[in-house]
Amino acid sequence: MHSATAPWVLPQIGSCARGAAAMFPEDDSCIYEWPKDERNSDLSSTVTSGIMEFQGFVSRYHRAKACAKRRERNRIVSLIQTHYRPIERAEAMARYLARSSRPDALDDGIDVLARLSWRTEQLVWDRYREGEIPGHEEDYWYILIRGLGKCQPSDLGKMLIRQLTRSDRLAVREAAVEALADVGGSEAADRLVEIARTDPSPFIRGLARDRLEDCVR
Amino acid sequence: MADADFSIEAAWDVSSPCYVRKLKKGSHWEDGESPSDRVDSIVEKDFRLDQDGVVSVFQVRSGVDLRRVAVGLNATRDSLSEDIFLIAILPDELQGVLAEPTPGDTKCLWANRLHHNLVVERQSGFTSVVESLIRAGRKPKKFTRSKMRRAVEEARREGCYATRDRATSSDPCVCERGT
Repeated sequence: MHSATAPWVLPQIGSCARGAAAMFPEDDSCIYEWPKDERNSDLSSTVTSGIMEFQGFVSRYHRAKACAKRRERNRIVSLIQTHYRPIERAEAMARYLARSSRPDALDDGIDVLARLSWRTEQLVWDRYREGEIPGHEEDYWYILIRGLGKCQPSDLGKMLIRQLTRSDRLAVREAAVEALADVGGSEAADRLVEIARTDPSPFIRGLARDRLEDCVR
Repeated sequence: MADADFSIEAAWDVSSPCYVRKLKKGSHWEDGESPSDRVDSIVEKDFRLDQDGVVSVFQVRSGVDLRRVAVGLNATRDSLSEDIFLIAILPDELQGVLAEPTPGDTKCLWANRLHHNLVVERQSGFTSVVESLIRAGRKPKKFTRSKMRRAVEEARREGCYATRDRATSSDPCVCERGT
């Protein structure tokens, strides 16, 4: 069993990110618990405790004092980037933070996703393609969509953000308008102008106007 | 310029002093099938008691206070100039809620002195507070990145510890100099 201070032992168990990934089928239902696998129950329980340990680090990051926040965030980014299933780790972090009552919970998640580049984009696409309804868990999707806007998304990612600005859910449009402004550029500015004129919600129209100021600078 | 961006009167059309609280986001202040849905949603998302059974706010009397609080709160972000949502609460609107001065945990010493904990017997104690805010037509105020950039520049001029590493610099900030 690995020690409480060395969660990175997990990817090294097989030092074998690739080996372990090949050994088990892709299964997105196992975000919090690795499914019981008769082929290797020891490894299965080790992985489960690794996820619990990871959530412990996420909690520590989220509750860190101001002076330690950056260090703890770097640790979470590193734990996700070096894990052999980084998308699942990123998702587990986002879901954990979406449940928190603290006002900085969503920002904590966004700041990590912003630094995960393609992993963030893949996470959003995976969930979107699986038919999860953006906005059903609105704080979770807020973290994902805003993280996408900050991770320098590809053209497809930018297209998805523009698409989400047309959602019928207010919370999704809010996140998408913010993400669009974070992406910036003339296309984003044009769409923000359109939203500021035509969105049915005065809140979203105001937000688009406010963020346009950031976008065009 | 930066202090005008953070005018309390311009942001919420209220007089100071007031308390401000950071919000996760703003759309749930508009959403909801009925006013009571909206109240429940706001209490749940923005006034849920933390693990110590309190809700954290800052008492502000001027644009300078508000600017320093905003920069202090952003010091835990990856970038100091991230946009931030805040809501103002007047002392009269805290019916049945005790505002207890306690040191804050930001990198700005000034903001830390303005910190208060809101203490209630039970979570539902915030329902009347939120109802008062909605009755008064109070809305969350977004301080955009361009405003935050100006605030951060001002904080740098003041030598605020939110903008530099306290361990490696011996120069006192403007609060320590007492100006």
